[in-house]
Amino acid sequence: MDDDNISYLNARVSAMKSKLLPLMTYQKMLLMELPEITRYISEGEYHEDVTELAKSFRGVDLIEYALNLNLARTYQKLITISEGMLHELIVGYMQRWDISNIKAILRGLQSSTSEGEIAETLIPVGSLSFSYLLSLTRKDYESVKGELEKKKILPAGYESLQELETELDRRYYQDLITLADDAGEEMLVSFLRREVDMRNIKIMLRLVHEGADFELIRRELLPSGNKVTPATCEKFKGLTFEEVVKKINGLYHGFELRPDEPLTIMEQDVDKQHILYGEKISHLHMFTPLMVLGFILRKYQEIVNLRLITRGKQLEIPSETIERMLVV
Amino acid sequence: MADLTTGLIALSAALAVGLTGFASAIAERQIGSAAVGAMAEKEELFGKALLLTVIPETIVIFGLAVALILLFVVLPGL
Repeated sequence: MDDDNISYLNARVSAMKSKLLPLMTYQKMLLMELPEITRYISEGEYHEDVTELAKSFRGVDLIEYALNLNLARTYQKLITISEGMLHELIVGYMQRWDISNIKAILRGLQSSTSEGEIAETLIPVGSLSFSYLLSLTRKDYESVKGELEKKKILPAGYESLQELETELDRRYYQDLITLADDAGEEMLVSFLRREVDMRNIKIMLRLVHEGADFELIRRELLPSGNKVTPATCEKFKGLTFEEVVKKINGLYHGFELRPDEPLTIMEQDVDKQHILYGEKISHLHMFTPLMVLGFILRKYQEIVNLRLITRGKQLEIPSETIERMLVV
Repeated sequence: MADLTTGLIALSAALAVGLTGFASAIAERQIGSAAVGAMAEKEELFGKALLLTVIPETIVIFGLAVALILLFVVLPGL
């Protein structure tokens, strides 16, 4: 991957990474009142985005839209400054937001959610433009599904939304892993397989917690993982939730999930472990695309954390609860 | 035979400068592009980036020193 100027991109991404907010800043923000937080955010790295949107929005909405704009700009910059196979890998990796947006739209339309509420869940990142996504929120479920099938964005022949979503994820990881494999990026392939495991673990936890049928769990798992796949999930069959959590803790180093905690917190712990792992291996393998992918994950998490703090403070959620939900 | 020795020494001096120059260029290409990337995000890194970019120049300076010794110490002594 020498021709792709990976040293330029990695140095630039390292510099971008150094601008991400440290843990101390989040702790400081949790002690502030909402107006102070909004001012703090608008004075830092997000200054330009906040200023640009200040005419149209106010308060927490302004911060939220500015964070989204900044995320979109950062990711667009990564796409613009990369080239060759590295560019293809970054674009491929970012398709996850296309999938996430399509899922949000389809779920919203199926449950008759309002346009505004669906639009709030969209992330303006990915190859589909935000205006196109917004135009989809104004249509009905069947016509959006038909339109996306015609454009080959959605696979045809899936009646249930749940099956369609699993198929989208399956194709996404399969294509991305094939691309990384073709590029000879063994570490990236292993990272992506681990990411599939994390997704499968979260699904397993949720479904076992709800007492779902084991065959349903098997159908929902993606096949491209390492340790938790439809082929290897037999070891979880017939186990209680506590036993499943114990088994999952033994799969990966650093996993300390507690079955008595709320499911959302456990899922966040799984995400946290994955981000930490991404951070560790991006340091160990400096001249691989992992450096960039690690940054993509951390930048997204920063936006999620800031959104959590501002929205949490607005809803007067205790600081301890917000802090527990942050992934730093 | 003296002419052949002179020629070989001159050739060695040329190779010492040429090959080390080539090696410096390869190293500086990588470091330079990384430096530009870092500076694009953080302008304040200019000083450090410039210093790091010229460090491979030492390779060509060693080559030059070898060439000068060949031409001005070894050659006149023959």
